[in-house]
This record gives sequence, C-alpha cells and structure tokens, in this order.
Amino acid sequence: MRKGFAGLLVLSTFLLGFVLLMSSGSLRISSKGYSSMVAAEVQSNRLAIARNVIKRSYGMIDPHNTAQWTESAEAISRNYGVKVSINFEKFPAEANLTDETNGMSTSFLLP
Amino acid sequence: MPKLRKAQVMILDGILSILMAMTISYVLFAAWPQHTETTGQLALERAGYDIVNAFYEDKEIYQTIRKGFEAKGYLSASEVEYLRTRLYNYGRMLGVSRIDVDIEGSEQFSVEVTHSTPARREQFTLIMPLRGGADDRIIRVSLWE
Repeated sequence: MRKGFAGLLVLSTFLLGFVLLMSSGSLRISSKGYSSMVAAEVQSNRLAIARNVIKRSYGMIDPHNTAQWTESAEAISRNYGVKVSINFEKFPAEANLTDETNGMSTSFLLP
Repeated sequence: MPKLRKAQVMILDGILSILMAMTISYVLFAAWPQHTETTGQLALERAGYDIVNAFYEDKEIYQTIRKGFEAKGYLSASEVEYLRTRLYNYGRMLGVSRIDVDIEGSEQFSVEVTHSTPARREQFTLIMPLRGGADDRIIRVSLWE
C-alpha cells in the first residue's frame, strides 16, 4: 500500500512537471505573441497620429509656406518613428508615411 | 525502497498537494499581470491621439495659442492658466495623471490631474502653424499614466 503510494507520488510529480513545462511553454509563446501585437498596435497608433498631425497642420498653412512646414513635418515624423515623403508635384499633394521597422505605410492626399 | 511510516506518507501527501496547487495557480494566473501592464500602455497611446486632436479641434486651445504668439510672441500667465484649465478637463476625461506641455518659444507648463504618483510617460508632438505657416511651432505633449 505504502509502496504503491510512493510510486504514485513519483509518477504524479513527473506528470505535474510535464504539465508545468508544457503550460509554461505555451504561456511564453502566447505572452510573446501578445507583446508583439501590442507593439504593432502602438506603432500603428503612432502612424495614425503622425498622419493626423500632417493633414491638419497642412490645412492651416498658406501655399507659399510649404518648405518650412515640410521641415516641421519631417521633425515630428522622426519623433513618431516614421519617415515622411511629400510629393508636391501632384495635385492635390500626396504624402506617404513609412514605418521602416514594422513595414507599415500609409499614403494620403493633403487637403 | 524503505517502508514509509504514516507520518512520512502524510508529509509526502502534503508536498504533492502543494505541487498541484502551484501548478494550477500558475496555469490559471501566470499571464494576467503582463496583460494589465500592456493594456495600460495602449490606453496612454489612445489618450495621445485624443490630446493631439484637442489642440486642433478645440478652438479655445488653438485660438489662445495663436493669439498669444501672433500678438505678443509669447503666452502670458493668464493664457497659460486658461490652457491649463482646458487641458485639465481633457486629462480627467482621458484618465491620465499629469500632462506636460512644451511649446517652442514658451515656458513648459504642467497640469496635475490627479494626486497619484506618475508611473509611465509617453510623448506626442504636433505642429501648430502660426501666421499661415510662416511661423511653425512644434508642441510636445507628455502624458503620464
């Protein structure tokens, strides 16, 4: 009876260890997946903010002040971790924001 | 294998119970704290989007900054105080504890929304064009969780 119990204890411990190992592995994977999802969400949000700032501020400037505004747009884009390129040759002007780290980009027309 | 006495069996039984309890607790609760932390980070990002919009959409905020800089070249104490009041309402609505505002050409000011100790900070920048874009001011807004 006691021998049987000791055997059961050893078996249970191994079983529990196995379950723990498996569950910790899957938890690590899900935790990693969640973290990268949050990072992508944060960067996507930053891209949206930069786009919003560029569109709104462009609507407030006179056409002959675009050069100075472009410098400011580049400065704020750097703060959001994105690269901006603006094509004034097109009408209406077209802007492109690229997040080179995550490969996200967005193109939009300026008002 | 040596024979086990009743007391030893009880001790081993106790160890087995603790191991089982630890496993179940770990499987059920281990992932929760990480999720809470990252959700807070997302909340601050969402608040950033709204606060940046406030500088463009809230005519009182925009006009105060524009008039201050275009008329005098700086923000007076009463204008800063007015901005603080407006931003306090946004901060309260967005659930942040403090807002720091740094406008080019003006002294930095802060708005205390709650008395809790600020834990995490995220900074957002925006362009405030003045005189039709002849004088662009970059505004840095820091939100504290």
